[in-house]
Amino acid sequence: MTLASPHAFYLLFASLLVLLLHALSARERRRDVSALALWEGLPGEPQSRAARLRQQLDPLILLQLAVLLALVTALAQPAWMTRSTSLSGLAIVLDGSASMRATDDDDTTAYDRAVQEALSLIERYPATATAVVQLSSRPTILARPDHAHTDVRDALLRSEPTWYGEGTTETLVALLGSLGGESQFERVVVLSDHVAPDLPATFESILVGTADNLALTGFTVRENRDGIGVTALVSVLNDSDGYADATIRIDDRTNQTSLSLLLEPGEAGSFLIPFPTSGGTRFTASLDPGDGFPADNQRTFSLDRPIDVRVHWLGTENRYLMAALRAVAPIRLVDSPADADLTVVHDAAAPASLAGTILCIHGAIEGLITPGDSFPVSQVDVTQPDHALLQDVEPDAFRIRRAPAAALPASASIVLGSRELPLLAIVDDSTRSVVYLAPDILDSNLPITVGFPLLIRNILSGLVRLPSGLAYRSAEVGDPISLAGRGTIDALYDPNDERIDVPDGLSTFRPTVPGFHTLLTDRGAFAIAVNVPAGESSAPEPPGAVDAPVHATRSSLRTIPLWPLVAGVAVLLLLGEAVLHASRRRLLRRAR
Amino acid sequence: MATYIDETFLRQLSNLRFIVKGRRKGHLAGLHASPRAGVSLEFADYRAYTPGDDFRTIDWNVVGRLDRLLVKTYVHEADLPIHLLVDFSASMRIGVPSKAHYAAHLAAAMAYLGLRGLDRVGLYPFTDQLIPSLPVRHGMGQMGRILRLLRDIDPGGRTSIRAAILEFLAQTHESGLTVIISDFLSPGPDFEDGLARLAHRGDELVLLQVLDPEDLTPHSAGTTRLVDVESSQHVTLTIGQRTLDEYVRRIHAQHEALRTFSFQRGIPYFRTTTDVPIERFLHQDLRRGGLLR
Repeated sequence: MTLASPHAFYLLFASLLVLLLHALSARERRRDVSALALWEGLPGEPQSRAARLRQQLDPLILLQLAVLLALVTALAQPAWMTRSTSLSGLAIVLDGSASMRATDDDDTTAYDRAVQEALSLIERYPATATAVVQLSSRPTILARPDHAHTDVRDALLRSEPTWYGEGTTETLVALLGSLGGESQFERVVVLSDHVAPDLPATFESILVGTADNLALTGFTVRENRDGIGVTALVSVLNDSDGYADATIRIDDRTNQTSLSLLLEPGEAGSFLIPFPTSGGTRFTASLDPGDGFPADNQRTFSLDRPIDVRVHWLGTENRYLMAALRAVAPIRLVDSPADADLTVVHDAAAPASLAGTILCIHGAIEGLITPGDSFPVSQVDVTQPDHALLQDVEPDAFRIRRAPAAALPASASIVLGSRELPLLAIVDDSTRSVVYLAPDILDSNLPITVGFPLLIRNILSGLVRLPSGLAYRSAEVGDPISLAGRGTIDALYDPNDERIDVPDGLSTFRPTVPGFHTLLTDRGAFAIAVNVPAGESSAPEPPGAVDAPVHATRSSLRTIPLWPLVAGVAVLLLLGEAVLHASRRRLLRRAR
Repeated sequence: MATYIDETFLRQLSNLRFIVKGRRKGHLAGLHASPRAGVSLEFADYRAYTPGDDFRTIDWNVVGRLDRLLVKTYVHEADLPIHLLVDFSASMRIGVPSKAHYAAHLAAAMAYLGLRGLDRVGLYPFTDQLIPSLPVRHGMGQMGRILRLLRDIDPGGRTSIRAAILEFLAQTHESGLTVIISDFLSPGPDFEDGLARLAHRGDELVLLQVLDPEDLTPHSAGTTRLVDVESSQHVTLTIGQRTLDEYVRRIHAQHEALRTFSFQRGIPYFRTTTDVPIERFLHQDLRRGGLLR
């Protein structure tokens, strides 16, 4: 029971006034008689203590005090808060993020407790359509409202927490929208180890785990400039109320280094740890001592060393072109075009059988590109200014003295030209992907322009899929990771050496577990370090921040106002007091 | 004071009239038999003719048979002086309705019955003396005066029935039906002597005792200050069941004494309480007791 206006009880001080008035009006009981002679000499009776008490406890004053108490209670607006056993709809949102794997002293995970809470809710509302949603950065619907309660229970018991990060409130609202909208649910209960600050006020939040946490929240490694060893950057969080004496160990599978720290309560810091003896590429940082959430006591990192681009060179050498290629990626020359990622045709004629990706500069490809007579080039016309090949390139700076009038297929896409002359074009057919640069490099100012290496980078990026190092360095569970640029994919394994299916043509995947993933290609084995999202280690909301959701919980309760009942009792007591008073007056008049 | 007579009440009294035991010497013609012979339809006796008698009264049939001149005499129907002595002392103030109210109502009813029966009625309110009163008169005009007087009287003062009777005897010289209405709880000293004097004059006495139910069975409990409304004397008493029982015993003893006195003197005595409807008291108690018919 709650009181909307408890301050009304200050009015009980008015009872002092009632008692004062009663004391002032309390006179000796008087009775007028017709003939005193009839009473004179009658034996008076000794008054018992109970009788004296009864006389002092005038029923009128007791009734008046009861009326006052009832009125004050009614003014305090008492209300009975209850939950009905049936709702129009119940949505249970289970936080399925990685932090829900944290265990307490009983080795029970926060997720298990959330499931128990959810089962309790279902038992409490057996007649209510119930939907269960597992919220994370990859949310899923465990049970729809039209499912039977037994199915809902089974789905809850079968479910497990993920290694994904936290889901957002927008995601949750969208997910509920797919179930008919949040208005379909009279109660939306979020079971989580934290309280989202932007949770709608109508949602109820139940905290299921706020254990202390000591975590590695960041880990990266860079090679030292002198080529000797590496340096690690580690971020640590002590999300507890006590000091933590911790040790950080860095392991590259061959060597190890460590750093001891004393972390203050709530301290979050980053530390550089030199690792000069390291020569490996797979690094693991671990934190001692462990705690209830070991997943964030260890983080991995894989040094991303790009693979060589295999180039088959056809024609004369050109050191400007080779320098520009090497500026983009490590270049390794191969003899056979079949082994090459790229064939460079420079100032030469390639046979018609040449296939694959080809950079043809001032050259010819039989049956595809046939150069003709050279003509002076007065200016460079940009036919496709937004083309990817011209990213960061300023063609106006190019000065070209002459260029051949090449015959290109009708499907060719001219990027740069000069009147009728094609200067830069893309020619694709079923077996080849060709970028054609018409002028002789040495008959232009290209080698000395800033735009030339940029143009070569764009061309190489368009022809050869270069690896994306950034995706490897900051990979977290659930992030899309590009597999491109590592050669032809043979297999992908998770940290448990379970094979992950990668459909043909798909060059990205989203890891579902943390740890080292292994990518096997025709170019070798590559380690992909995947970690628990750093946000899962961050401190939960302090207890004070829970006020708003708790308030929301209260507001969703069914409130039965009791003040009309109490007011009715007050009126009845008042009537009783009036009747008793009138009766006394009548008796008094009779007596007089 | 409230109206004592209304149409409904009058209808209930329409079939009642006083019964007088003896023959009264009324001055005026009335409905009560007089000791004197008079003109009426009721035959009384024969007597010898004496010169001066009305020839019309000679019974010629008797002359034919006996050859004597005899005249018929008839019962003389005279009126009855009715004196209503009503106690308006302070003790009559007690009760809801008060005993004074009930007594006034009762007096009004009796006055109406008397006046309707062609009697003369007088009202003599008293405390320890007579207060301005209405001498006996006949006619319904007297009814209005009686009602106005009853309305204007405010009860108060002590009771002395004997003193009031002595004053009443000094003011009135004609005996009649004298009705005394009082609670008789504190009648004052030697009130029996007063009643005896009235009876000695030849008045036909009727005592009507009006009590409040609380007078008979009080409900007080606990320590109470008992105040005599007439003398303002008081007694503080812790009243319990034993005390109440003793009180009831006392008032019953007083009632028995009054009843015994009345019985010995042949005075009709009636007792009522204010919770008994007046109509029922008139129709049942007084009719059954032979005062009314």
